[in-house]
Amino acid sequence: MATQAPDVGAIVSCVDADGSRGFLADAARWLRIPFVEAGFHYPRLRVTAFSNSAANAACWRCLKPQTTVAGFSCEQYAAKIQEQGGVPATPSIAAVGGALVAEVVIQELHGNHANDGRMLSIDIRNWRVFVADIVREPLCPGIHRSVDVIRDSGVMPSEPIVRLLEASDLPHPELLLPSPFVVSVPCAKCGSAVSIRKPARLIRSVPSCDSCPTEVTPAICSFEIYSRVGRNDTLALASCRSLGLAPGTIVEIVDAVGEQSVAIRLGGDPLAAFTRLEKRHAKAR
Amino acid sequence: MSNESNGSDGKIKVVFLHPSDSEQYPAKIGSATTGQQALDNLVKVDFIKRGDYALTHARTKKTLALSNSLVGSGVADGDEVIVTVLDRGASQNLAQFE
Repeated sequence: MATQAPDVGAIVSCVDADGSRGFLADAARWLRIPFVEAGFHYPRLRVTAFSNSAANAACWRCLKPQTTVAGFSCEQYAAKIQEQGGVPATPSIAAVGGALVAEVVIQELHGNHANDGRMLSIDIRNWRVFVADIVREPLCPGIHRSVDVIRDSGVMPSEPIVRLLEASDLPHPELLLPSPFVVSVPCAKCGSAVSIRKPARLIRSVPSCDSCPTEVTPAICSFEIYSRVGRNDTLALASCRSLGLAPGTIVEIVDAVGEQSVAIRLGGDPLAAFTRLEKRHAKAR
Repeated sequence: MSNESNGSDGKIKVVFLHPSDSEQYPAKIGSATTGQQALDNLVKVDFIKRGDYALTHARTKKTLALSNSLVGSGVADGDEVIVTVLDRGASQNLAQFE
């Protein structure tokens, strides 16, 4: 578990992919930050709210245990609709959804959790409306625990993971990676090992060789993917940054033998994680 | 799960409400039928399209955990279960362009 911003009053999720929703839901639960989520596809709208004041209460992932990382952006969808001669905007339902989310967030910021753990479902065309209490899913893969204290490690992103592990003071520390780190996978075409060395969330295409061998042999190599890093793992010597940990990131380190875990913040300025872009000038008409 | 009427087989009658229109699907379910199994069967009989759904017990207004049996979650004979699409926005619409 890793996240950047504990000094926020609420997290609002209106993203396109469930994998992103799941990540935000987990981060909000872990850091005890109210989480408001919405999704719509005309004429249906759904809003859910979670105060995250109780770690073992139902979460968004109890409602949607299975999520995928893949997504199809609003921009791409809009372009496709326009190609077909349609209008991609649905302002009526977006306005209703935006207003509802804003109201829920305001109430959460004021400590009013009247809609905690509830789902509001609306069909704005036929006026079908109902509210449901979200129950705990026994097989929920989400995080049902919260941190009490976040420790500043003083470890910079350029330093190796082993320094973070040492900062935890746990006897058998293992860092839980926010996104699995892919070292290598078989080529989709020939099965040879393809070096990736990226967090899984940054992989945008099916891995394959730059040029496959002339003679293709059956795939023998396996996937090398890490979801956690211990002292004796090779990745312990890699820099925090190379494993996707930006300045100010808060990570969870667990004891591989016991049940202890600690939340640790990386050093550095979180704003340094953003890339400065050159200002673009509008084209003259 | 079936929609054949038979009162002596230990099954109960549940009415599933369609997420978008007024259609209903009455079905007989066994005591072990889970929420996920019910959804899979609703897709199989073409009551709903393949996708992401939540189930809500209309009588109690509580969602139904998909890994639990509906009967174990308190669904009784004659109850209605609301099927809700878990829309996530643009990303679910790729199929319409394929």
